[in-house]
Amino acid sequence: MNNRLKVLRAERDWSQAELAGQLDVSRQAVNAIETGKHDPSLPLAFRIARLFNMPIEEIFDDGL
Amino acid sequence: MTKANIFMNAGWFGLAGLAGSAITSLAHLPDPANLVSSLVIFAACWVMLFTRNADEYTRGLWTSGASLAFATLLILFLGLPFAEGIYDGFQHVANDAPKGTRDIPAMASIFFAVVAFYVGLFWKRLRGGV
Repeated sequence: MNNRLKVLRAERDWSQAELAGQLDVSRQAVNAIETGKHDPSLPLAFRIARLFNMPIEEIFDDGL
Repeated sequence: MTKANIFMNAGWFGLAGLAGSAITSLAHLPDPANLVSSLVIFAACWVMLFTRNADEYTRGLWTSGASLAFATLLILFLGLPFAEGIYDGFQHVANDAPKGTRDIPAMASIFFAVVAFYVGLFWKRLRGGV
């Protein structure tokens, strides 16, 4: 699944560790999501969407 | 150090232990060296067991490794006797070996399951899924 997490994080000038802290996950989890190696669970996807104040589908793209 | 970091580092230690075990076996080093490697592997597994719920990513890594280890055990449960039979078949023809001896030890299943666990874990970590 593609996502815009890295772009959104860069726009806010946050490090992976800072974003991880706000999402209550590990830095490794943020890195894995950004690189597409891990698809976040629905609760985490909602937390991400809420943090960036955007709908989930504007952050994540299933490629269909 | 966070629980996720402990989990990740334990994974590397386990992989190092696995490499050490392979080297000691291939180089025919004394048993204590192999024992130390085995202890590192299983200690790393225990550490990961207790830190796997650090977050959903570490849980996913653990699940990936555990799934592959379980699948390996299931396959070996049925496949190892077949492999033993095939091996014995060839051996008896070639060497007339005595019947009833096991050439492939049952402990091999455990070793392969542990190897499969680390393969599954690191495949998910480096490539994103099995």
